[in-house]
Amino acid sequence: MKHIALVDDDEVINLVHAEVVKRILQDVQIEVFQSGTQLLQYLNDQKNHPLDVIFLDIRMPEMDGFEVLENLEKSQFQLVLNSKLYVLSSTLDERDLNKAKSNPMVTDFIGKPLSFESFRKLLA
Amino acid sequence: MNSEELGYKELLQQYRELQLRVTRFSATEQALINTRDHLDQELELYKRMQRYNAAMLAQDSMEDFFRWVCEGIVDVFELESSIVGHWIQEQNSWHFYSEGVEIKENANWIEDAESLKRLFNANESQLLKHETFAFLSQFKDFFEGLLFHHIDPKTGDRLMYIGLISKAQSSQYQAISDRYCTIFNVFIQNVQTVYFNYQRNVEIQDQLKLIQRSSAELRKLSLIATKTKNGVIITDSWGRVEWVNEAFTKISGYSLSEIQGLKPKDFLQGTQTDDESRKILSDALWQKQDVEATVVNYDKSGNPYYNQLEIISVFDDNGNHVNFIALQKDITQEIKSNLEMRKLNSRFALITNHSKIGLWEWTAETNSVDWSDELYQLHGISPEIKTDLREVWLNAIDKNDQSRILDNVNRLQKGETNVIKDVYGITRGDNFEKRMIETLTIAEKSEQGKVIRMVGSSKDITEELQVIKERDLSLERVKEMQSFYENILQHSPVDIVVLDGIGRMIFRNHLFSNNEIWADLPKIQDISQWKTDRDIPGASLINAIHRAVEEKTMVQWEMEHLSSNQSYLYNILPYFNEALELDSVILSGVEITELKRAQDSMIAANSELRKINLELDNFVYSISHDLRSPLLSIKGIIALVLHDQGLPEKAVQFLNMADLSVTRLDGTIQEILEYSRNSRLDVLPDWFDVSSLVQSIFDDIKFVTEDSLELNLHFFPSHMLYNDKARISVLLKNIIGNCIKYRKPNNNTVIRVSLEQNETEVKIEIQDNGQGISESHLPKIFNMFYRGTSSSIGTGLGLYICNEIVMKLNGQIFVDSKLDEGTKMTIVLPQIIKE
Repeated sequence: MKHIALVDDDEVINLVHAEVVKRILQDVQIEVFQSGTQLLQYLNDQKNHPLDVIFLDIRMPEMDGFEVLENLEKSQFQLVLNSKLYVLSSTLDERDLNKAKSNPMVTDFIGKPLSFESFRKLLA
Repeated sequence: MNSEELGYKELLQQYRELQLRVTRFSATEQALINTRDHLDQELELYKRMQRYNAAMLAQDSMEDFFRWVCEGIVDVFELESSIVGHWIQEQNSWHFYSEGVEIKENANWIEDAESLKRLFNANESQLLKHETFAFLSQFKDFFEGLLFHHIDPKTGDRLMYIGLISKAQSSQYQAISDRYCTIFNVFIQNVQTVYFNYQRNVEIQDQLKLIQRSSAELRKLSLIATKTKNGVIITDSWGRVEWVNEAFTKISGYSLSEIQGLKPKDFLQGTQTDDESRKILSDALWQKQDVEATVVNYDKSGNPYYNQLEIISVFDDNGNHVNFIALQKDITQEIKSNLEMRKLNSRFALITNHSKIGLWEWTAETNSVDWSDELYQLHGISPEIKTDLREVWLNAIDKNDQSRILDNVNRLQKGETNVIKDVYGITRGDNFEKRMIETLTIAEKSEQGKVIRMVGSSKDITEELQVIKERDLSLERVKEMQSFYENILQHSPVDIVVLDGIGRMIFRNHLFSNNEIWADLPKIQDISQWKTDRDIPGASLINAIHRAVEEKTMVQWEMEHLSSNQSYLYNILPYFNEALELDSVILSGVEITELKRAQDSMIAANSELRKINLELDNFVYSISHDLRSPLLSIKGIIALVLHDQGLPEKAVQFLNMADLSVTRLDGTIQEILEYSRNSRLDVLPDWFDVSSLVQSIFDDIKFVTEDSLELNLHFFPSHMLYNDKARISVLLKNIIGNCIKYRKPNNNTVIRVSLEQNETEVKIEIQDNGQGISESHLPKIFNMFYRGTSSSIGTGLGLYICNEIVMKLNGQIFVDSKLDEGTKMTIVLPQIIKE
């Protein structure tokens, strides 16, 4: 069973992404977080069941995606040590894009919305 | 044979056949594997070569470049060592570069290089075997290698590239096979291309430096020409006025616009201009020679003035005559005082020629007086007339002088004094003219102290006195003139200080009031020694003057008057006399307080603007992000619904339409963002690969259709471009996007992208075989929000943005299109020169 986390302040897009994931993977557990803080809180509390894939938005209120990445790196959570982390964003800012791509924790950058095709591709 | 035996044999037979087939099959399989391995290896070589090429371009000296080639041969072909020999025809010498092998005795290597050149054909890769190496003194330890040599037909330069594996290490390396030759060929040709480009680049850089140097020179010259008090005229090679400075306008009254294109002689010379000067000038101009002359010229209102002219012929590097530069100086005042001096001189000559000194002698013993002929002449009486000379002399003396003169003579006779000098007036006997006489009388005494003789000389000094009077008058005039000029300087808005050759201040006008600086000027008697590390108010000025004198050039020095809070900019100009000794240093300063204030506020405003720009940039990104987010959610939802099977056909159709609208709206947001960025951000040039840029743009958008699309790329001479990558990317994305959007349905769409560039220009052409644009739409396609038809898929912003971008890059965009045949977009941009 795959364990996947979605981090985005936009509830609707979280719903869409969760649906895309569910239709492709039958055996999956999805954690939806509406902020980076929620994700960090979860990682802090939970000790079992590591995450396989994390989708992280960049532009979020309170704590943006880059701050989340910094926190993840600092805390070295057991649950995310082997996760693949995808930045999933609608930004058009080249600076965001370059910053995300150059971060060693980031597997790749994907433009929103997550499509069936790109999700299938990243599972392959 | 029983049937069992038969069956066994048959089985054995079949088994053998099978075994044979298996053997054959595995042989074929092995061959296939070998081929695949070779292909893999070749592919790997090509890949390595490609990576390496890009790095090669970045080397910035010839040495680095060849060293990099050496490294390349070793890395790409996995060889042990490499040598590059470079024969430079101009220097008549070989230069060697190597990797993994040391080149010590140059002479032997040269001999080997010459042998290799004779043994093998040029311009193709050669396999070197150890048999060959046996002939060569430096290659004895090598086992095998690769060679390519090339002769540049233009320069005669030779290049020899060698890759090597030694006998000792040969087991560690893969054997060099024939197939290496092909790749080595390709590799070397790449190197050659880069080498060629590199040379071009060096040439361009040199030219650029030259241009920069001469433009700096020109700036300096024009500054001098503008600032000098002498008139400057620059003419073309036919002698027609191209430019004059302000001083010329001040002297002559003519402004540039009035006389541009005219020959100076046609408006400056007049009736008093003498023919000889005219001829000297016209001869020199005709022969394009330098000339100096003094001529009478006329100003605009017809007043003549003396003009000291110096005409310099200017030639370009190729010896073509390009300009005359004429320096002229109004020397009317000098000429006038010169004439006066000459007049005075000639009068002095007259005096010495005509004035003769008259002598007389009185003897006490006889009480008689003798006159010389000259004294008779001086008094205007004949020596024949025998009258009492004492009487004649006394009567001639002016009444006012008589008693004084007699007194003097009495004092001499009494022995009270030995010498008397005096000046008195006389009236001549012949024409009763008044003359002034200077006399010297000497008394001769006996041993007892009695006067026994007196001798005297008389000299007519009437003219001399006149001249002295006149000289004093003219000196006074000169003084007046000097104070007049000083007065002008005192009241000029320019701060002026003049130091003499050893640093003493010989002039300063009242404006220079910051005494605290001058107080610290050193007392050293040699200005070239001025230089100080001490922290004193005048330190920077002293060092600036020192620099101006040392470098024999004008130095600018900026200063803030502490008391008045005003800023001044000084030009410090050392002036050297003909013997190249420092004559004086002229400091002229202008107040730049306002200028500085304006400059400061401009800098502040600029940085403020930059900050606002950055904020605006962030704002625009946030807005576009916030606008897009819900759109992208809608897109996601539509995709989800469409993913479900068994929807009614109408519903699918409507959902697709909704998706298209959302896509278009998203496109508009992106285009507005691009437009806003283009108009605000500075051009940011960098090197980038246009080829891969076009390919990735094409790959990103080719999925919108399942129609057949074909992309053709042509680049000359290189696909590397130094320009604003972000802008070019938007430009190409829009145009290539249009090629695909407006393709002909059911047709093989071919998009041809070509790039040609030289030192000054880049030309990019994007041609398609699509729907084309009708003639009536053509003039409007670059307008904002213009859409050809209501069915146009676009927003009407794409080409508008393209045009804006091209304008920002100082280029031009042209469209050439025929309905139903296709469209060609041509973009011409100036090359951005890398600083």
